[in-house]
Amino acid sequence: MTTNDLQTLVRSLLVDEDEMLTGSDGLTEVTAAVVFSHLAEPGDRFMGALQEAVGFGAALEILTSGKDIKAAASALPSDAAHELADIFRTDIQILWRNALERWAPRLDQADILGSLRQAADLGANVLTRESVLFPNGMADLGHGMPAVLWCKGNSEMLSAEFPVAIVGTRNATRYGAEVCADLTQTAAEHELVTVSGGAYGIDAIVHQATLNAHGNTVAFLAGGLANLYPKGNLGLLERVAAHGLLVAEQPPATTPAKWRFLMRNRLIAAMARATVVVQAGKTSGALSTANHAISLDRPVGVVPGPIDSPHSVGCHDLLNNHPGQVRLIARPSEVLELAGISVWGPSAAPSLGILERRALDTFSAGPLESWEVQRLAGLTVRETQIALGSLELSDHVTRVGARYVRTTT
Amino acid sequence: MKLAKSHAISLLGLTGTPIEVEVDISAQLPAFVLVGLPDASLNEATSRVRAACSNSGFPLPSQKVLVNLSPAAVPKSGSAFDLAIAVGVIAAMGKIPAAALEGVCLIGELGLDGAVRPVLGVLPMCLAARRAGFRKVLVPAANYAEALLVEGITSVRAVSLRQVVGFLLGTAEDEGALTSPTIEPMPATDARVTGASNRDLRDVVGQEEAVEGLIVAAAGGHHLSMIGSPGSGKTMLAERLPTILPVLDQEQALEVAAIESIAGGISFANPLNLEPRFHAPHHGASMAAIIGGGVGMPRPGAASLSHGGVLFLDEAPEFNSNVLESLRQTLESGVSVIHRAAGVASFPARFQLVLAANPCPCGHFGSIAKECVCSYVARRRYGAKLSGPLRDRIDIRLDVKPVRNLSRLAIDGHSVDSASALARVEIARAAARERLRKSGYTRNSQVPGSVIKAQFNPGKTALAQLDRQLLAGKTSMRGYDRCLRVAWTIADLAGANVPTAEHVAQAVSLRGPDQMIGVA
Repeated sequence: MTTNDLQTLVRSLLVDEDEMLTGSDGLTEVTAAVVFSHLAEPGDRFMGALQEAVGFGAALEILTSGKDIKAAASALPSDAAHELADIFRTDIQILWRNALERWAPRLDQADILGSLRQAADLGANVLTRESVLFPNGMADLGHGMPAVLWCKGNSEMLSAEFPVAIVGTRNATRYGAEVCADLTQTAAEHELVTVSGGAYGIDAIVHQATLNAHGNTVAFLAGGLANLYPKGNLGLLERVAAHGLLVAEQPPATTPAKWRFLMRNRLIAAMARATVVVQAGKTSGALSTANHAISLDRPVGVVPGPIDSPHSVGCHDLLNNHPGQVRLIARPSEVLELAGISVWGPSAAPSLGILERRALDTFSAGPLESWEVQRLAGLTVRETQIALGSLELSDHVTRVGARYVRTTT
Repeated sequence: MKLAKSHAISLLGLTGTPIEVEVDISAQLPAFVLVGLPDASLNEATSRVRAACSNSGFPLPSQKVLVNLSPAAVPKSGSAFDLAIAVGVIAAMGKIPAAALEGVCLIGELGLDGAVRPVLGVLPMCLAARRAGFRKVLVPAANYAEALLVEGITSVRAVSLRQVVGFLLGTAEDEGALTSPTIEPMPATDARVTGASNRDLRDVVGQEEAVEGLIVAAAGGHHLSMIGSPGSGKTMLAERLPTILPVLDQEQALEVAAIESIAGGISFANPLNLEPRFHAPHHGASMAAIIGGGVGMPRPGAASLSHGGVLFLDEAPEFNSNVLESLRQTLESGVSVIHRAAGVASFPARFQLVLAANPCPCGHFGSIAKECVCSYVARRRYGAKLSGPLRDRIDIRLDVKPVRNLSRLAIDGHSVDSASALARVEIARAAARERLRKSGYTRNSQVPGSVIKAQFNPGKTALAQLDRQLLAGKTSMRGYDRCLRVAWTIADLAGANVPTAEHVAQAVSLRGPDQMIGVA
């Protein structure tokens, strides 16, 4: 087993080799990132800080050099060591010892090679931070950013412009299921990528409804790509892999565990432009996603429910506890607004044509009948009908009985 | 010979059943008994037949005459069996050989002098006779033109009982040809070509918007509603809709003729009239008058009489709500179905509905000239008379305003006339027919929303604005569908392959708000 074997395997797992391997020691760095994803648990901030200070390649080199803790700590450039100590307010040697205790047991080249082969067999890919496809939003996680993303499916979805996370309880009620399908469909029809966690209930509906609408959907997994969970959603997750994208932070063989679910939620919140909680009980995991989104300054929307429903308590609490940061979703289209697509904005409403402009200019204070508009604007009957219909559609006028009233000035 | 058989037809709706008239004369106390489920009107036949026979030189014997109408389970009604019963009795008296009655169907009412009088429903009876395999059908001379529309069966004019017996014995030719005024079968004509209809779209002055809407309605076969204060010209516009509709095809014209034959409205001179009909029942009309029904033999209502043409309901909210609601089903199925204990009669009823209404009960809501005196509640109630499901079937709403600007009359010379509008309509209909051929529809108005969205979607660019409205909840899904249907018709009229954003915008203008009248 040599580093070369490792690098060859890693290279075969890359999606866009050229992009990632531009630097002189690009492959070394990428390979080190892949190795680190085997070593560290999700959200290992020391790993992130270390990477920022010296890079994965250098960090791995020190780690594998067999130096004792003191020597290893002093192998770090002194300014980097100070920086790390500052960040964690702890002595660098203690930091390093703790990290080593966490990472060393997993640093087994044979295991890692086996894991990479497993990934290759699964048809999985690896995306590092250098890839253009790596979601921009992940950068907001700072040191908690994942070393790599393990993907199965169409990884281009990761770089979508308007991903929206729709999450919620596994125990969705009929109301929640219907609303969820509605929101998802609206999002999918407007070519938003939907992001969720692949769990039962709301998550499953999000993926299913998106696939039904021939939209793009991304499922973030708590375990590895070889441990699809929950088993009851196996078929659905396989369809997501075929038509959408499965993403995991850790290598394929990783088993899903409770803390990993919570850490997985931060990725959903970070990738999405906005997060919508459809239904959440008092302790629902969806609340963790929402809280991550709030801490990342992402817009969060909640779907209201009956106040006596335990399935919506979490939604209502979110709204009350974060005034100004959490918004109530009152109709499906508001999901689009939340994600930054302005339904009423200039991109959706084309500027007025000459006919419409002429017709609109005839309105002063009072309502007008169409023949009056026609006369004042000097248009033909057909032109007036087209102009008024178009103005009505673009909400510049409303129709009151047989008359039209201007709504905007 | 004391037993004889003749044949007639019993009608239920447009469906005829062949009836065997069996006559038995037996040596009992003199009597004339009719059995086989005759109703009260048919039972009167015994008196007429007795008098007609004796006045035609065939006095009935002083014995018991028993007439059975078979199958006895089929309810029978009306006076059209008179001739068959009389001929059967005469045959039972031994005056006509049984062979002469083979394959002959007899239709007609008898006068006491033996004259054969016209009856209703001769055309559908002849159609049924042909289907039942009769070779000849004898019909009242006055109904002869109708009978001639049915090919493949020999129709003979019946003038009097005497002449009929003579004809059956072979001693008289089709004597009716000589004794009755010659009624030549008329070639099928379009009254508009011959100038019989003097209505023209040109008569409508200063209502360009409404006229444009009317043309769109005609082109797509869209149901239409017109809202406007009294005197604004709603009726005038509606009356001119038939003038811009394509003529009926032969099959449809025959269906209409059969309906009119039963209802009694058929023209003896011109039974196969290709002109689309126009019926404007009064708002006091009953369910039977609009949908069909009535005592005894169910008669078609105005909805069926307007088959292929226009049914105009002026003052629509004043109609009995039962009547309006039952129209819904007819609009959907294109058939008026009348259920009776005796059976189900159905008449085709695929008409174009035109509803006219005032903006409020007093008619002046929204008017500048006069102040409306109706309360909000009264206006609401007025508008609510037209239920949502009924409104859903109406694709186009026109606001008709009285012409008060005399300068608008000046462009009189530019008014659209019916002939040029009809030409546009026909081209648009041909385009729609071609496009819809595979889907089994012929007009845009028939295409359900699901189909139009799936198969005839104008695309995102054209619908962008409408989609936003739907998303924002400002347009209902049904309103959206209506808009799509009308947009297609506008595109067909404009010769476009697919509706553009402009066509959709114009459709929005023509569609009007979901709430129809009364509330603003």
